[in-house]
Amino acid sequence: MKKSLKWVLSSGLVLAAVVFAMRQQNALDLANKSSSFTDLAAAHRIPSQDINPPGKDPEPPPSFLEMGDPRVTALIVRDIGRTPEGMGWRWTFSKPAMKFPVAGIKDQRFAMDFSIVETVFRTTGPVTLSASINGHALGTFRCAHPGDFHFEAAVPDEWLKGSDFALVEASLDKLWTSPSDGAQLGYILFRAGLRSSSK
Amino acid sequence: MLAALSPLFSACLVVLSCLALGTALLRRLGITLTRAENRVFAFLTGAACVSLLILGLATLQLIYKPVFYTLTATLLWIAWGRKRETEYETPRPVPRLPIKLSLCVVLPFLVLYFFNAWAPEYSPDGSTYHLGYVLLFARHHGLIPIRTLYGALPEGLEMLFLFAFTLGRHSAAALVHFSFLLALPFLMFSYARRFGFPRAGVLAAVMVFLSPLFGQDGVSAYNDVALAAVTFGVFYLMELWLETNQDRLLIPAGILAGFAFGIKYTGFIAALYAVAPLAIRMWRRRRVLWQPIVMFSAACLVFVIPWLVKNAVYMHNPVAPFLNSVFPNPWVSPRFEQLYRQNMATYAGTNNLVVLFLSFTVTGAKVIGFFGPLFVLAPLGLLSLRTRQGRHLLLAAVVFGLPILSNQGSRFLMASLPPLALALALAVANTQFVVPTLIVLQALTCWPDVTAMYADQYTWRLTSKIPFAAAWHRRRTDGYLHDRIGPTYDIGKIIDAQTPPGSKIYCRACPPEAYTAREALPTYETLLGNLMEDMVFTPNEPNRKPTKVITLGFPRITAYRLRISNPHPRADEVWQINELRILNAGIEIPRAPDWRIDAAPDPWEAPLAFDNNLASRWSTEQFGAAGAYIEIVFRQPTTLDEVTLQSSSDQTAQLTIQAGAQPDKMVQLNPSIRSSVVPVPVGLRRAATLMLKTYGYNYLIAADGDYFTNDYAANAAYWGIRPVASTGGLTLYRLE
Repeated sequence: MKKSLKWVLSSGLVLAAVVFAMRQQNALDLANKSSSFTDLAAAHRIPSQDINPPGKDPEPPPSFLEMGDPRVTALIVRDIGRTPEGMGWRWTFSKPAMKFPVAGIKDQRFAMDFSIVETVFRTTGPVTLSASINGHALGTFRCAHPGDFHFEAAVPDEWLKGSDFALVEASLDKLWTSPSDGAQLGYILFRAGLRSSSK
Repeated sequence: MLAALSPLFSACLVVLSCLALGTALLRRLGITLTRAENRVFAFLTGAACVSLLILGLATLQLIYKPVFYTLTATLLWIAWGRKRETEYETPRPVPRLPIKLSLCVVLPFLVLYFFNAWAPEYSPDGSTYHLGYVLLFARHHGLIPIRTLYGALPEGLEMLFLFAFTLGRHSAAALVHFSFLLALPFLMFSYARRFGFPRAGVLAAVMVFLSPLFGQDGVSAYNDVALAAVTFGVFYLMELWLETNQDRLLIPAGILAGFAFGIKYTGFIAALYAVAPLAIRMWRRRRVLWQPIVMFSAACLVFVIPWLVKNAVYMHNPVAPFLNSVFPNPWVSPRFEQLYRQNMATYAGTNNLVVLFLSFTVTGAKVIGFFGPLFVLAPLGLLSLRTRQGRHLLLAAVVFGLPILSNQGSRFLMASLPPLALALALAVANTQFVVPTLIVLQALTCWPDVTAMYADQYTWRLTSKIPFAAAWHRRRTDGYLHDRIGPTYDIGKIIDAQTPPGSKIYCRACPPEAYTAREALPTYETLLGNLMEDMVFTPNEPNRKPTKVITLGFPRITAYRLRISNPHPRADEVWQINELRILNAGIEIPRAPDWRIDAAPDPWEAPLAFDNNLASRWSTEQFGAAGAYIEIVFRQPTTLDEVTLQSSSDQTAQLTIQAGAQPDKMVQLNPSIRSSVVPVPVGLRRAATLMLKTYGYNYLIAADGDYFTNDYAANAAYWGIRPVASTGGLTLYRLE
C-alpha cells in the first residue's frame, strides 16, 4: 500500500513538473506570437483599420490576346498548353476551349491565327476546324495543307449578351496521337479573341 | 568518413539505451522469458521508457548532446554495470532448413534496407513533419509548442528520433525506425516458436520483412513499422499472460499499449485489443479481475497521459487535431477536421473491396504502398480458425486493422499484417513444400526490380539501386536529396541563404521542414495557413470575391449591444462575413476602439469582419453551425438603424438580429433584409498581401501550375510582391 502511494505521489509530482514546464513554454510562445489567432482577449477588440482600397487592380485582359501573354493562362478552360512556347504560341489538345473578356457586344468578330504542323498533317491529312461561341456554332474551316491559317467570323450580338466572358471552343475533327505516350495534339495557336469589326 | 558513421553510431546508442532500460525493467519485474523474447521485449519496452524519459527531458529543455551521452552511460550501467543474473526459459527447438533458407533470401533485402536507412532521409513525411519538428526541438533544446495539424499528433517515436537526431542528424532517426523493422520479424518468430508453430513463424516473419511497404516505411523516419512491432508486442504479451498466468506481464503489455498510442493515435487499438484477453479470463473465472485491470491500465496511462496533457496545454484540446467542436481552439477548426477526415477515409477514391484488396496487396495504386502479392492468399488465414492461436491472431488482425476505416492508406493496415501473416502461415505451413516455396516466392515478387513490373508506377516503394555512395557520404548529400526530393529541396536551400533568420514563408509547395531553418509550413497544416490561403485566393476566385451586400434595416434604436445570428444554416453551409458595418441614417458609424466584438463559433477570427480589409473574412469554421452569431458591444448607447454584411455571393441572407437597449438584455428585431450585388472591390490583391504581412509572413513561394501562379507573375506590382529567386518551377517572392 505504502509502495503504491509512493508511486502515485512521485508520478503526480513528475506530471505536475512537466505540466508546469509546458505551461511556461506555452505562455512564452503565445507572447511571441501576438499576431496569430491565439489571443482571445485581442480577438474581442476592434482591430486596426486597413486602408480601403489598399491598392489598384490591373486592367482586365484584352478581348484579343497573343498566346505569349501570361494572362492567357488564366483564361484557358481546357486543352490548351498552360505555358507559352517559343516566340509565344501554345499547343492545343483534343477539345480546346478558352474564355475571352467581352468588351462590347456590338459588331464583334472572332478571329484566330493558328497553324497545322507538317508532322501532324502527315498523319491526319486535311482537317476541319469547328468553332463555337457560348455554345452557338460559329463556323467551320477546312485546312487542306499544313501551314498557317487565319479564321474569322462575325459574332451575333445576342450570343454575347449577359456575360463578361465568351466561351470559345475550337477543335479539329482529327488529332495526332503520339505513338509513345498516347498524347493527342491538335493545332498550334498564335493569337485569338474578339475584335470589333469597326477596327 | 566520420560524418558518415555518425548516424550509425547515434542510432546504436539509442538502441543500446532502449535495450538497457528494457533489460533492467524486465529484470526488476521478475519476468521470465526465453533469451530471444527477453531481448526483443527489452528493446520494445525500453524504447517506450526512453521515449518517455526524453519527453521529460525535452519538456525541461535539456536536449543537449552531453545529456544523451550521460543518459546512455547511466542506462548501460543500470542494466549491465553490476553483475546480475537473468534467468531465461529454455526455448523450443527451431526448424533449421526454413531458417537457413530465409536467411539466404533475406540477406539482399537486408543490405538494400540498411543502406537506404543509412542514406540521407528523403521520405515525404520523414523529411517534412516527422523530422521537421524534431529539428525544431533539437534547435530549441527542448519541446516547443507546434500548433499544427501534425504537431498535435503524439510524438512517442519522434522522441527517440530526437535522441538520434541530436547526435547523428536525419539518417540516425531513420536507422532507429529501421531497428524496429529488424525487431518485428524476431518478435513474430519468437511468438510462433513459443506457441508451437515455428515453421509458420519463419514464413510469416519473412513475408512481413520482405513486404515492399514494410521495407520502404521501415527505412524511413516514419512510425508505422514501430507501431506494428509494438502492437504485436502487446498481442504477444497478452497471449503469454493467458498462457502463464504471470500478472506481471501486464505491466510491459500496458507499457507497450500506452507507447502504441504515443507513437500514433491509431495505436489505441493495442489497448482495445487487450480488452479481449482480459474479458476472456474474467468470463472464465466469472469475476472481475481488478488487479490485472489496474496493472495494465496504470502502466498504459503513464505513457498516454503525457501526450494528452501536452495537447491540452498547447492546443487547448487533449486529443488535437480531432474533436475540435468539443474542444474549440484557434489552431484546428471543426470544418478542416471534417474535410480532412472525409479525405482520409476516401483516400483511394473507391469503396470496392476487390479493388482495394488488390491495391493493398499487389498494385499499391492510390493507397501509397502495398504488401506484396503473396498477401492475396490472406483469406486462407481463415483456415487457422481451427486452432486457438489462429482465432486469437485473426481477432488481433481485425482489431489492429480497424484504423483503415478512418484512412484508406495502406500504412494504416500495417499493424494488422503481423498477426494476419501468422494466421495465414499457420493455416498452410504444415503442407509439404509450402513454407520454402512461399518464402522464395515472396522474395522474388518483392524485389524492387520485380515489383516495378506489376505495381502502380506512383506507389511508394524502394528501388533496387542501393545508395552506397550516399550512405558513405561519397556522394554529396545535396545532390542526392535534390534528385530524390526535387525543387522544393532546392528552394529550401535558397530560402536559408537569401532570407533573414525568422522569416516566415507562405507556401503551398513548401521546402521539406527537416531541411530548412525558416518557417515554411504548407497552408493546410494550420488554421492560420487556411485563412491566408483563403485571402490569397480571393482576388482570383469569383466565388470568394465579396460581391454581395446584405442589408438589415430596422426602426432606429439606441442599443448597447447588437447580435446578428444565422439560426438555421444548411448542413453544408459555412457562414462567413468579410466586413460588417453599422449605420445610422445611411452613414457608417465609425468603429470605436472600445467596442467589444465576439463571435461563436470561432471567436478568434471575429476581428476579420471588422478590419476594413475585404480580402479577409470571419467564418464559423464549422459546417451547419446552428445559432452561430457575431456580436458587438458598444460600451455606451449607440443609435443605429441598419447593418450591412459584405460577403461572397453564396452567403445566406436568412439572418436574425437582436439588440439590447440595456447591456444585459437583448430583444429580437424584425429587420427588412435585402441583398444586392456590388462590383468586385478594388485592390483585393494588395489587401491579401497586407493580411499576409499582418500575420507575420515576409515571403511567398509560388509553384508553376498551381492556382493563380500566373497572376503573381503577371501582376506582381499589384500584389505588392517582388520575385527574389526561382528554381525548378518554384518562385520565391518577397512581400514589399
